[in-house]
Amino acid sequence: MWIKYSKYLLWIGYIYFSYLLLLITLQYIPYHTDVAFLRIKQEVIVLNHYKIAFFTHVYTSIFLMFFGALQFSNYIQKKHMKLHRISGRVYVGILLLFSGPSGLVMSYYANGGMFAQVSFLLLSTFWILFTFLSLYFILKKEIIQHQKFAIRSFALTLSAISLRLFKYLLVFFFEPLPMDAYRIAAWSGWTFNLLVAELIIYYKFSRISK
Amino acid sequence: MKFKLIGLLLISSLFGCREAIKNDVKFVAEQDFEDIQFTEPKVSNSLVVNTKEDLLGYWVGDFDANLSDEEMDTIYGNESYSNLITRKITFSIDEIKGDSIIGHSISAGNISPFKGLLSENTSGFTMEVDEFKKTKTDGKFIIEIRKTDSILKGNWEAYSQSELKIYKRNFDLKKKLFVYDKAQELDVTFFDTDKSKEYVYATDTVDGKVEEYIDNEYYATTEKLFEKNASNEVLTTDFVSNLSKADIFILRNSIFARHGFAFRDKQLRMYFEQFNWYMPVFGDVKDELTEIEKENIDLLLRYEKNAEEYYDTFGR
Repeated sequence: MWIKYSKYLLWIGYIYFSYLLLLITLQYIPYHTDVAFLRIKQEVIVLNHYKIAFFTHVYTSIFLMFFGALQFSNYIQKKHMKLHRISGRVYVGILLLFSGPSGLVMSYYANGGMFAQVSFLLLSTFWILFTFLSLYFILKKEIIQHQKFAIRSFALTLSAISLRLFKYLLVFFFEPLPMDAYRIAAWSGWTFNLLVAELIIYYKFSRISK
Repeated sequence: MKFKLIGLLLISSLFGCREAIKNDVKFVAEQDFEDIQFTEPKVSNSLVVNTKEDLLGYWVGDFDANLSDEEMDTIYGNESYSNLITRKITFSIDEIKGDSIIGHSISAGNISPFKGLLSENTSGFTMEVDEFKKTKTDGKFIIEIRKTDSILKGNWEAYSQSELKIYKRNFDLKKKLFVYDKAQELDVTFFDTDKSKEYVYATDTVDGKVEEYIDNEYYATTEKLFEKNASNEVLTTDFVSNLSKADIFILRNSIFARHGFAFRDKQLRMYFEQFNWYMPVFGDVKDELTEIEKENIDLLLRYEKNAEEYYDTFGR
Protein backbone atom coordinates (compact mmCIF):
# COMPACT_ATOMS: atom_id res chain seq x y z
CA MET A 1 0.00 0.00 0.00
CA TRP A 2 2.85 2.32 0.87
CA ILE A 3 4.39 1.70 -2.56
CA LYS A 4 1.07 2.19 -4.31
CA TYR A 5 0.64 5.66 -2.89
CA SER A 6 4.29 6.65 -2.95
CA LYS A 7 3.89 8.07 -6.43
CA TYR A 8 1.20 10.46 -5.22
CA LEU A 9 3.21 11.38 -2.16
CA LEU A 10 6.11 12.23 -4.41
CA TRP A 11 3.88 14.53 -6.43
CA ILE A 12 2.47 16.16 -3.31
CA GLY A 13 5.97 16.72 -2.01
CA TYR A 14 7.03 18.11 -5.35
CA ILE A 15 4.11 20.53 -5.49
CA TYR A 16 4.66 21.58 -1.90
CA PHE A 17 8.33 22.41 -2.41
CA SER A 18 7.61 24.14 -5.70
CA TYR A 19 5.13 26.24 -3.80
CA LEU A 20 7.86 27.15 -1.28
CA LEU A 21 10.14 28.11 -4.14
CA LEU A 22 7.34 30.25 -5.52
CA LEU A 23 7.10 32.02 -2.16
CA ILE A 24 10.84 32.66 -2.26
CA THR A 25 10.45 34.11 -5.76
CA LEU A 26 7.60 36.34 -4.63
CA GLN A 27 9.89 37.97 -2.07
CA TYR A 28 11.51 39.75 -5.00
CA ILE A 29 8.25 41.09 -6.40
CA PRO A 30 8.01 44.05 -6.60
CA TYR A 31 11.62 44.63 -7.57
CA HIS A 32 13.80 45.26 -4.51
CA THR A 33 17.53 45.03 -4.11
CA ASP A 34 17.66 45.00 -0.33
CA VAL A 35 15.39 42.15 0.72
CA ALA A 36 15.82 38.52 1.75
CA PHE A 37 18.94 36.88 0.29
CA LEU A 38 20.05 40.17 -1.27
CA ARG A 39 20.50 41.66 2.16
CA ILE A 40 23.74 39.71 2.44
CA LYS A 41 24.71 40.33 -1.19
CA GLN A 42 24.98 44.10 -0.92
CA GLU A 43 28.58 44.17 -2.14
CA VAL A 44 27.77 42.52 -5.45
CA ILE A 45 24.21 43.62 -6.10
CA VAL A 46 25.59 47.00 -7.11
CA LEU A 47 27.25 45.34 -10.11
CA ASN A 48 24.94 45.63 -13.09
CA HIS A 49 25.72 42.23 -14.55
CA TYR A 50 25.05 40.58 -11.19
CA LYS A 51 21.77 42.44 -10.84
CA ILE A 52 20.66 41.30 -14.30
CA ALA A 53 21.80 37.73 -13.65
CA PHE A 54 20.15 37.55 -10.24
CA PHE A 55 16.73 38.79 -11.31
CA THR A 56 16.78 36.80 -14.55
CA HIS A 57 17.53 33.68 -12.51
CA VAL A 58 14.88 34.36 -9.88
CA TYR A 59 12.12 35.31 -12.30
CA THR A 60 12.67 32.56 -14.88
CA SER A 61 13.80 29.50 -12.89
CA ILE A 62 10.48 29.07 -11.13
CA PHE A 63 8.84 28.14 -14.46
CA LEU A 64 11.25 25.24 -14.86
CA MET A 65 9.63 23.58 -11.87
CA PHE A 66 6.39 23.46 -13.84
CA PHE A 67 7.62 22.63 -17.35
CA GLY A 68 10.28 20.25 -16.05
CA ALA A 69 7.74 18.17 -14.17
CA LEU A 70 5.41 17.92 -17.16
CA GLN A 71 8.16 16.21 -19.15
CA PHE A 72 8.19 13.24 -16.81
CA SER A 73 4.48 12.51 -16.85
CA ASN A 74 3.95 9.09 -18.45
CA TYR A 75 0.44 10.10 -19.34
CA ILE A 76 1.54 13.14 -21.33
CA GLN A 77 4.38 11.24 -22.98
CA LYS A 78 1.97 8.54 -24.21
CA LYS A 79 -1.18 10.50 -25.07
CA HIS A 80 -0.04 14.05 -25.75
CA MET A 81 3.29 13.91 -27.51
CA LYS A 82 2.69 17.35 -28.93
CA LEU A 83 2.39 18.85 -25.46
CA HIS A 84 5.58 17.04 -24.44
CA ARG A 85 7.42 18.63 -27.36
CA ILE A 86 6.11 22.13 -26.75
CA SER A 87 6.76 22.14 -23.00
CA GLY A 88 10.15 20.54 -23.64
CA ARG A 89 11.10 23.39 -25.94
CA VAL A 90 9.96 25.92 -23.37
CA TYR A 91 11.99 24.14 -20.64
CA VAL A 92 15.14 23.97 -22.75
CA GLY A 93 14.63 27.51 -24.04
CA ILE A 94 14.25 29.08 -20.59
CA LEU A 95 17.12 27.04 -19.19
CA LEU A 96 19.67 27.55 -21.96
CA LEU A 97 18.88 31.19 -22.62
CA PHE A 98 18.08 32.54 -19.17
CA SER A 99 18.27 30.44 -16.00
CA GLY A 100 21.44 28.54 -16.90
CA PRO A 101 23.72 31.38 -18.00
CA SER A 102 22.46 33.66 -15.22
CA GLY A 103 23.13 30.89 -12.71
CA LEU A 104 26.66 30.60 -14.06
CA VAL A 105 27.28 34.32 -13.55
CA MET A 106 25.92 34.13 -10.01
CA SER A 107 28.06 31.09 -9.17
CA TYR A 108 31.15 33.19 -9.61
CA TYR A 109 29.95 35.50 -6.83
CA ALA A 110 28.54 32.77 -4.55
CA ASN A 111 28.77 33.08 -0.77
CA GLY A 112 31.05 30.69 1.03
CA GLY A 113 34.33 31.43 -0.74
CA MET A 114 36.18 29.36 -3.33
CA PHE A 115 34.89 26.08 -1.92
CA ALA A 116 31.26 26.97 -2.60
CA GLN A 117 31.98 28.89 -5.79
CA VAL A 118 33.58 25.86 -7.43
CA SER A 119 30.54 23.79 -6.49
CA PHE A 120 28.11 26.25 -8.00
CA LEU A 121 30.22 26.75 -11.13
CA LEU A 122 30.23 22.98 -11.70
CA LEU A 123 26.51 22.77 -11.01
CA SER A 124 25.69 25.51 -13.55
CA THR A 125 28.01 24.07 -16.16
CA PHE A 126 26.61 20.54 -15.85
CA TRP A 127 23.09 21.89 -15.79
CA ILE A 128 23.54 23.70 -19.10
CA LEU A 129 25.54 20.85 -20.62
CA PHE A 130 23.10 18.06 -19.74
CA THR A 131 20.13 20.10 -20.91
CA PHE A 132 21.87 20.84 -24.17
CA LEU A 133 22.78 17.17 -24.68
CA SER A 134 19.21 16.13 -24.01
CA LEU A 135 18.08 18.49 -26.77
CA TYR A 136 20.90 17.37 -29.06
CA PHE A 137 20.05 13.67 -28.77
CA ILE A 138 16.35 14.14 -29.35
CA LEU A 139 17.13 16.10 -32.51
CA LYS A 140 19.25 13.11 -33.57
CA LYS A 141 16.31 10.88 -32.57
CA GLU A 142 18.35 8.98 -30.02
CA ILE A 143 15.56 8.53 -27.51
CA ILE A 144 17.49 6.60 -24.83
CA GLN A 145 20.33 9.11 -24.71
CA HIS A 146 17.78 11.91 -24.72
CA GLN A 147 16.03 10.41 -21.74
CA LYS A 148 19.23 9.87 -19.81
CA PHE A 149 20.32 13.46 -20.15
CA ALA A 150 16.81 14.76 -19.50
CA ILE A 151 16.85 12.89 -16.17
CA ARG A 152 20.24 14.39 -15.32
CA SER A 153 19.13 17.88 -16.28
CA PHE A 154 15.99 17.68 -14.18
CA ALA A 155 17.95 16.21 -11.25
CA LEU A 156 20.06 19.35 -11.26
CA THR A 157 16.97 21.54 -11.59
CA LEU A 158 15.72 19.83 -8.44
CA SER A 159 18.84 20.92 -6.59
CA ALA A 160 16.91 24.17 -6.08
CA ILE A 161 14.87 22.15 -3.59
CA SER A 162 17.52 19.80 -2.21
CA LEU A 163 20.07 22.54 -1.57
CA ARG A 164 17.59 24.41 0.61
CA LEU A 165 16.17 21.27 2.18
CA PHE A 166 19.61 19.93 3.12
CA LYS A 167 20.49 23.24 4.69
CA TYR A 168 17.25 23.13 6.67
CA LEU A 169 17.93 19.58 7.86
CA LEU A 170 21.58 20.30 8.70
CA VAL A 171 20.56 23.21 10.88
CA PHE A 172 17.67 21.27 12.39
CA PHE A 173 19.87 18.39 13.49
CA PHE A 174 23.34 19.83 14.00
CA GLU A 175 23.06 23.61 14.27
CA PRO A 176 26.35 24.30 12.50
CA LEU A 177 27.68 27.80 11.90
CA PRO A 178 25.70 29.36 9.05
CA MET A 179 28.43 29.41 6.42
CA ASP A 180 29.56 25.88 7.24
CA ALA A 181 26.00 24.69 6.67
CA TYR A 182 25.89 26.59 3.41
CA ARG A 183 29.14 25.09 2.15
CA ILE A 184 28.03 21.56 2.92
CA ALA A 185 24.65 22.14 1.28
CA ALA A 186 26.32 23.75 -1.74
CA TRP A 187 28.06 20.46 -2.54
CA SER A 188 25.61 17.87 -1.27
CA GLY A 189 22.63 19.70 -2.77
CA TRP A 190 23.42 18.70 -6.34
CA THR A 191 25.87 15.79 -6.08
CA PHE A 192 23.27 13.79 -4.16
CA ASN A 193 20.69 14.47 -6.86
CA LEU A 194 23.07 13.47 -9.61
CA LEU A 195 23.87 10.25 -7.78
CA VAL A 196 20.19 9.42 -7.50
CA ALA A 197 19.78 10.29 -11.19
CA GLU A 198 22.55 7.85 -12.14
CA LEU A 199 20.93 5.13 -10.03
CA ILE A 200 17.58 5.74 -11.72
CA ILE A 201 19.22 5.66 -15.14
CA TYR A 202 21.08 2.46 -14.30
CA TYR A 203 18.00 0.79 -12.90
CA LYS A 204 15.65 1.92 -15.66
CA PHE A 205 17.81 1.32 -18.74
CA SER A 206 19.62 -1.82 -17.70
CA ARG A 207 16.24 -3.52 -17.43
CA ILE A 208 15.15 -2.34 -20.86
CA SER A 209 18.30 -3.53 -22.56
CA LYS A 210 17.90 -7.07 -21.16
CA MET B 1 2.23 0.46 9.66
CA LYS B 2 5.10 1.74 11.73
CA PHE B 3 6.92 2.71 8.58
CA LYS B 4 3.89 4.64 7.35
CA LEU B 5 3.69 6.53 10.61
CA ILE B 6 7.32 7.55 10.43
CA GLY B 7 6.77 8.67 6.86
CA LEU B 8 3.79 10.80 7.80
CA LEU B 9 5.73 12.28 10.69
CA LEU B 10 8.61 13.18 8.46
CA ILE B 11 6.31 14.78 5.95
CA SER B 12 4.45 16.78 8.54
CA SER B 13 7.71 17.96 10.06
CA LEU B 14 8.78 19.25 6.68
CA PHE B 15 5.63 21.32 6.50
CA GLY B 16 7.19 23.24 9.33
CA CYS B 17 9.48 24.95 6.87
CA ARG B 18 6.65 26.94 5.43
CA GLU B 19 6.71 29.53 8.18
CA ALA B 20 10.04 30.02 6.84
CA ILE B 21 9.46 32.34 4.12
CA LYS B 22 8.72 35.55 5.81
CA ASN B 23 8.21 38.63 3.77
CA ASP B 24 8.15 41.22 6.44
CA VAL B 25 10.05 41.14 9.66
CA LYS B 26 10.30 44.23 11.71
CA PHE B 27 13.56 44.74 13.40
CA VAL B 28 13.73 45.87 16.98
CA ALA B 29 16.85 47.84 17.55
CA GLU B 30 18.33 47.70 21.01
CA GLN B 31 18.45 51.49 20.93
CA ASP B 32 14.71 51.92 20.73
CA PHE B 33 13.27 52.98 24.02
CA GLU B 34 11.84 55.94 25.79
CA ASP B 35 14.07 58.91 25.77
CA ILE B 36 14.60 60.47 29.14
CA GLN B 37 15.90 63.98 29.10
CA PHE B 38 18.59 65.04 31.49
CA THR B 39 21.27 67.66 31.42
CA GLU B 40 24.70 66.27 30.72
CA PRO B 41 26.64 66.67 33.94
CA LYS B 42 29.42 69.19 34.03
CA VAL B 43 31.90 66.63 35.23
CA SER B 44 34.65 67.85 37.50
CA ASN B 45 37.79 65.82 37.01
CA SER B 46 38.72 65.58 40.65
CA LEU B 47 38.16 62.11 42.05
CA VAL B 48 38.54 63.31 45.63
CA VAL B 49 35.87 65.50 47.10
CA ASN B 50 36.95 68.79 48.63
CA THR B 51 34.37 71.24 47.40
CA LYS B 52 30.79 70.58 46.35
CA GLU B 53 31.74 71.01 42.68
CA ASP B 54 33.86 67.89 43.00
CA LEU B 55 30.66 65.92 43.46
CA LEU B 56 29.62 66.56 39.85
CA GLY B 57 30.02 63.51 37.67
CA TYR B 58 29.37 59.78 37.54
CA TRP B 59 29.55 57.64 40.65
CA VAL B 60 29.54 53.94 39.99
CA GLY B 61 29.48 50.74 41.97
CA ASP B 62 27.35 47.84 43.09
CA PHE B 63 23.78 48.45 44.10
CA ASP B 64 23.38 45.75 46.72
CA ALA B 65 20.23 44.43 48.29
CA ASN B 66 19.91 45.42 51.93
CA LEU B 67 17.40 42.98 53.38
CA SER B 68 17.16 40.66 56.34
CA ASP B 69 18.51 37.13 55.94
CA GLU B 70 15.01 35.65 55.87
CA GLU B 71 13.97 37.95 53.06
CA MET B 72 17.14 37.19 51.13
CA ASP B 73 16.50 33.48 51.40
CA THR B 74 13.20 33.79 49.54
CA ILE B 75 15.02 35.54 46.71
CA TYR B 76 17.98 33.18 46.52
CA GLY B 77 15.59 30.28 46.30
CA ASN B 78 13.89 31.66 43.23
CA GLU B 79 15.93 31.59 40.08
CA SER B 80 13.94 34.23 38.25
CA TYR B 81 14.79 36.81 40.90
CA SER B 82 18.49 36.05 41.07
CA ASN B 83 19.34 38.82 38.63
CA LEU B 84 17.77 41.34 40.99
CA ILE B 85 20.44 40.90 43.62
CA THR B 86 23.53 41.95 41.74
CA ARG B 87 23.31 45.04 39.67
CA LYS B 88 25.34 48.11 39.08
CA ILE B 89 24.29 51.65 39.56
CA THR B 90 25.54 54.81 38.00
CA PHE B 91 24.64 57.74 40.18
CA SER B 92 25.11 60.88 38.18
CA ILE B 93 25.18 64.28 39.86
CA ASP B 94 24.40 66.65 37.03
CA GLU B 95 23.91 70.06 38.57
CA ILE B 96 24.36 71.80 41.90
CA LYS B 97 22.69 75.18 42.47
CA GLY B 98 23.15 76.51 45.95
CA ASP B 99 21.89 73.70 48.13
CA SER B 100 19.73 72.02 45.52
CA ILE B 101 21.04 69.06 43.63
CA ILE B 102 19.81 67.54 40.36
CA GLY B 103 20.85 64.31 38.71
CA HIS B 104 19.83 60.88 37.47
CA SER B 105 20.57 57.33 38.33
CA ILE B 106 20.94 54.45 35.91
CA SER B 107 20.36 50.94 37.09
CA ALA B 108 19.23 47.97 35.04
CA GLY B 109 18.83 50.27 32.08
CA ASN B 110 16.36 52.45 33.92
CA ILE B 111 17.23 56.07 33.77
CA SER B 112 15.60 57.77 36.68
CA PRO B 113 15.96 61.49 37.39
CA PHE B 114 16.16 62.79 40.95
CA LYS B 115 16.41 66.04 42.83
CA GLY B 116 16.98 66.98 46.44
CA LEU B 117 19.01 68.84 48.96
CA LEU B 118 22.71 69.01 49.59
CA SER B 119 24.04 70.09 52.94
CA GLU B 120 27.62 70.81 53.78
CA ASN B 121 29.27 70.73 57.19
CA THR B 122 32.87 70.89 58.25
CA SER B 123 33.54 67.19 57.87
CA GLY B 124 31.65 66.48 54.66
CA PHE B 125 28.47 66.48 52.61
CA THR B 126 25.12 64.80 52.97
CA MET B 127 22.46 64.48 50.29
CA GLU B 128 18.83 63.54 50.43
CA VAL B 129 17.29 63.10 47.01
CA ASP B 130 13.98 61.84 45.66
CA GLU B 131 13.22 60.09 42.41
CA PHE B 132 10.21 61.43 40.59
CA LYS B 133 9.74 59.28 37.51
CA LYS B 134 6.47 58.06 39.02
CA THR B 135 7.13 54.36 38.63
CA LYS B 136 6.96 51.77 41.35
CA THR B 137 10.75 51.55 41.46
CA ASP B 138 11.06 55.16 42.66
CA GLY B 139 12.58 55.78 46.02
CA LYS B 140 14.69 57.98 48.21
CA PHE B 141 18.49 58.11 48.37
CA ILE B 142 20.34 59.19 51.49
CA ILE B 143 24.03 59.69 50.84
CA GLU B 144 27.07 61.01 52.60
CA ILE B 145 30.71 61.62 51.81
CA ARG B 146 33.53 63.02 53.88
CA LYS B 147 35.80 65.71 52.64
CA THR B 148 39.09 64.49 51.16
CA ASP B 149 37.43 61.08 50.72
CA SER B 150 36.55 59.46 47.42
CA ILE B 151 33.79 57.06 48.44
CA LEU B 152 30.14 57.95 48.34
CA LYS B 153 28.22 55.87 50.88
CA GLY B 154 24.50 55.63 50.92
CA ASN B 155 21.29 53.72 50.85
CA TRP B 156 18.08 53.69 48.93
CA GLU B 157 14.55 52.87 49.99
CA ALA B 158 11.57 52.42 47.69
CA TYR B 159 8.41 54.43 48.39
CA SER B 160 6.07 51.52 47.78
CA GLN B 161 7.90 48.77 49.58
CA SER B 162 5.21 46.13 49.28
CA GLU B 163 5.39 46.12 45.49
CA LEU B 164 9.07 45.32 45.15
CA LYS B 165 11.06 42.22 45.94
CA ILE B 166 14.08 44.24 46.92
CA TYR B 167 12.97 47.52 48.38
CA LYS B 168 16.14 48.52 50.20
CA ARG B 169 19.62 48.74 48.78
CA ASN B 170 22.92 50.21 49.85
CA PHE B 171 26.05 51.17 47.98
CA ASP B 172 29.63 52.43 48.12
CA LEU B 173 30.27 54.35 44.95
CA LYS B 174 33.45 55.61 43.41
CA LYS B 175 33.68 58.45 41.01
CA LYS B 176 34.63 57.35 37.54
CA LEU B 177 35.26 59.48 34.51
CA PHE B 178 33.72 58.06 31.40
CA VAL B 179 36.32 57.53 28.70
CA TYR B 180 35.49 55.87 25.43
CA ASP B 181 38.15 53.32 24.57
CA LYS B 182 37.74 51.48 21.31
CA ALA B 183 40.30 48.86 22.33
CA GLN B 184 38.22 47.34 25.14
CA GLU B 185 37.95 43.60 24.55
CA LEU B 186 35.34 40.94 25.18
CA ASP B 187 36.70 37.82 26.86
CA VAL B 188 33.67 36.13 28.37
CA THR B 189 31.22 33.81 26.62
CA PHE B 190 27.68 35.09 26.46
CA PHE B 191 24.82 32.74 27.14
CA ASP B 192 21.22 33.70 27.36
CA THR B 193 19.82 32.15 30.52
CA ASP B 194 16.28 32.68 29.25
CA LYS B 195 16.78 30.74 26.05
CA SER B 196 17.76 27.17 26.55
CA LYS B 197 16.81 23.79 25.22
CA GLU B 198 16.96 20.53 27.07
CA TYR B 199 18.98 17.80 25.46
CA VAL B 200 19.24 14.18 26.32
CA TYR B 201 22.80 12.98 26.19
CA ALA B 202 23.80 9.36 26.27
CA THR B 203 27.14 7.99 27.40
CA ASP B 204 28.50 4.51 27.66
CA THR B 205 29.54 3.56 31.15
CA VAL B 206 32.35 1.22 32.05
CA ASP B 207 30.08 -1.79 32.57
CA GLY B 208 28.66 -1.43 29.07
CA LYS B 209 25.36 0.15 30.00
CA VAL B 210 24.14 3.29 28.36
CA GLU B 211 23.45 6.12 30.72
CA GLU B 212 21.26 9.02 29.76
CA TYR B 213 21.24 12.44 31.30
CA ILE B 214 19.63 15.74 30.55
CA ASP B 215 21.61 18.87 29.97
CA ASN B 216 20.78 22.39 28.95
CA GLU B 217 22.03 23.99 25.82
CA TYR B 218 21.93 27.75 25.78
CA TYR B 219 21.74 30.35 23.10
CA ALA B 220 25.43 31.19 23.32
CA THR B 221 28.36 32.75 21.57
CA THR B 222 31.25 30.82 20.06
CA GLU B 223 35.02 31.34 20.30
CA LYS B 224 34.84 33.44 17.16
CA LEU B 225 33.44 36.31 19.19
CA PHE B 226 36.89 36.95 20.65
CA GLU B 227 38.65 37.17 17.31
CA LYS B 228 37.65 40.67 16.31
CA ASN B 229 36.83 43.99 17.89
CA ALA B 230 33.95 45.68 16.11
CA SER B 231 34.96 49.15 17.31
CA ASN B 232 38.56 48.86 16.24
CA GLU B 233 38.52 47.42 12.74
CA VAL B 234 36.21 47.10 9.78
CA LEU B 235 34.74 43.59 9.80
CA THR B 236 34.81 41.59 6.61
CA THR B 237 31.84 39.82 5.06
CA ASP B 238 33.86 36.61 5.17
CA PHE B 239 34.19 36.82 8.93
CA VAL B 240 30.64 37.93 9.72
CA SER B 241 28.97 35.42 7.41
CA ASN B 242 30.12 32.47 9.50
CA LEU B 243 29.20 33.81 12.93
CA SER B 244 26.40 32.38 15.03
CA LYS B 245 23.34 34.51 15.68
CA ALA B 246 24.53 35.14 19.24
CA ASP B 247 28.03 36.14 18.07
CA ILE B 248 26.57 38.76 15.76
CA PHE B 249 24.20 39.99 18.43
CA ILE B 250 26.93 40.46 21.05
CA LEU B 251 29.47 41.86 18.63
CA ARG B 252 26.99 44.53 17.56
CA ASN B 253 25.99 45.41 21.10
CA SER B 254 29.61 45.52 22.28
CA ILE B 255 29.93 48.67 20.18
CA PHE B 256 27.16 50.33 22.16
CA ALA B 257 28.63 49.01 25.41
CA ARG B 258 31.98 50.70 24.77
CA HIS B 259 30.14 53.99 24.40
CA GLY B 260 28.57 53.58 27.82
CA PHE B 261 25.11 52.64 26.62
CA ALA B 262 22.78 51.60 29.45
CA PHE B 263 21.19 48.36 28.29
CA ARG B 264 17.64 47.69 29.19
CA ASP B 265 17.70 44.11 28.04
CA LYS B 266 18.36 41.98 31.09
CA GLN B 267 20.65 39.50 29.31
CA LEU B 268 22.80 42.18 27.71
CA ARG B 269 23.01 44.15 30.92
CA MET B 270 24.10 41.13 32.95
CA TYR B 271 26.63 40.19 30.29
CA PHE B 272 28.32 43.56 29.93
CA GLU B 273 28.29 44.32 33.65
CA GLN B 274 30.89 41.55 33.99
CA PHE B 275 33.45 43.79 32.36
CA ASN B 276 35.30 46.35 34.44
CA TRP B 277 35.47 48.76 31.57
CA TYR B 278 31.71 48.81 31.10
CA MET B 279 30.04 51.87 32.53
CA PRO B 280 26.34 52.37 31.80
CA VAL B 281 25.90 56.11 31.60
CA PHE B 282 23.99 57.01 28.43
CA GLY B 283 20.53 56.34 27.12
CA ASP B 284 21.46 57.13 23.57
CA VAL B 285 24.88 56.85 21.96
CA LYS B 286 23.92 57.01 18.29
CA ASP B 287 25.71 60.30 17.72
CA GLU B 288 28.92 59.06 19.27
CA LEU B 289 29.52 56.14 16.91
CA THR B 290 32.63 56.25 14.76
CA GLU B 291 32.58 55.62 11.00
CA ILE B 292 34.07 52.15 11.49
CA GLU B 293 31.41 51.32 14.04
CA LYS B 294 28.56 52.57 11.86
CA GLU B 295 29.83 50.48 8.99
CA ASN B 296 30.14 47.40 11.20
CA ILE B 297 26.70 47.86 12.73
CA ASP B 298 25.22 48.07 9.25
CA LEU B 299 26.93 44.86 8.16
CA LEU B 300 26.18 43.01 11.41
CA LEU B 301 22.54 44.07 11.28
CA ARG B 302 22.14 42.67 7.79
CA TYR B 303 23.53 39.31 8.87
CA GLU B 304 21.60 39.38 12.11
CA LYS B 305 18.35 39.89 10.22
CA ASN B 306 19.36 37.22 7.75
CA ALA B 307 20.16 34.78 10.55
CA GLU B 308 16.87 35.48 12.27
CA GLU B 309 14.82 34.96 9.15
CA TYR B 310 16.66 32.29 7.25
CA TYR B 311 19.12 30.34 9.39
CA ASP B 312 16.70 27.60 10.41
CA THR B 313 14.32 27.78 7.47
CA PHE B 314 13.93 26.41 3.98
CA GLY B 315 16.01 28.81 1.93
CA ARG B 316 19.56 29.96 1.46
